[in-house]
Amino acid sequence: MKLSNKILTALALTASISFAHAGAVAVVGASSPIGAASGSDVVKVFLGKKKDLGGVTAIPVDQDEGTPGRGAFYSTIVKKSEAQLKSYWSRLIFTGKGQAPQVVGGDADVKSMVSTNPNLIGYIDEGAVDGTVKVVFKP
Amino acid sequence: MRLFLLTLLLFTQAAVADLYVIAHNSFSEDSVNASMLRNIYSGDTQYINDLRIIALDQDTNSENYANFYSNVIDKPMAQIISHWSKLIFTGKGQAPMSLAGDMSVTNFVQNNPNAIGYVDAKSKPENVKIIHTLKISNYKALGIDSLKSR
Repeated sequence: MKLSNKILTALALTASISFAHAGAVAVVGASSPIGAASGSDVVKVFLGKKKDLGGVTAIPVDQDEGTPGRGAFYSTIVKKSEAQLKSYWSRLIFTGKGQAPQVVGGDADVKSMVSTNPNLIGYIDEGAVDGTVKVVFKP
Repeated sequence: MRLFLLTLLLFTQAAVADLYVIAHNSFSEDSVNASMLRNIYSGDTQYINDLRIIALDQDTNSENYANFYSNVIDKPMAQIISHWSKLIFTGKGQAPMSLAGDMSVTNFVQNNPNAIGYVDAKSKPENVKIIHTLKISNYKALGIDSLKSR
């Protein structure tokens, strides 16, 4: 590996680490009718306790386990660990009362899903926000 | 007696509705087969061709839900639920998201190109593509599977 490559890799790593520190924000597609929402409503949607935001149907999409976005979202906004989440969903599924959000990948996958589907809501790292999405909740 | 049963079956036939599986108008395929639906709704795949699918359910206590699962997956509900639970625990897949009623499902599918759902054919969904028609078996819908074997 050339020195310049090493420097590039180091820069890329630094960049991704600093993005990870920026924290997660809840997003919908840029043209979605879903508007700004409170943190508690966003949490309710992700826990299956609410199916709309401001009267507009909102279905959540999750990130893969282990992504920085998912870690940040559940630890700082939902305030549940992976173990708590699993037992929560397991109980709801067994009682027929709810379903865990569909897992769609990382920041880029969430952006592509929400930007083409106006009734989906996801979360991404704040550093990944671009013109295709609209932030509806930032802690 | 046989004639009576036959009459009963003919009569019940009219009482049972078909289900339409619907997709967005931009959906690339004209139809999707039963095994594809089974894979999507059991959580074994999220894709039809290259399109990531958001599968919609109806309320678990609705007739449409019962008819859909008894016809598409053809496994006891307890088995489906335990399969979903396993997928959640291993982080490998998801179960469908439920919406209340034909109208909510149709509206969602009209606006969201990645969504598919099922609705009662009698609700006559508009501005969506009907990609599969499920003929609901009378025996199953009425919970009288045993009649079929006579």
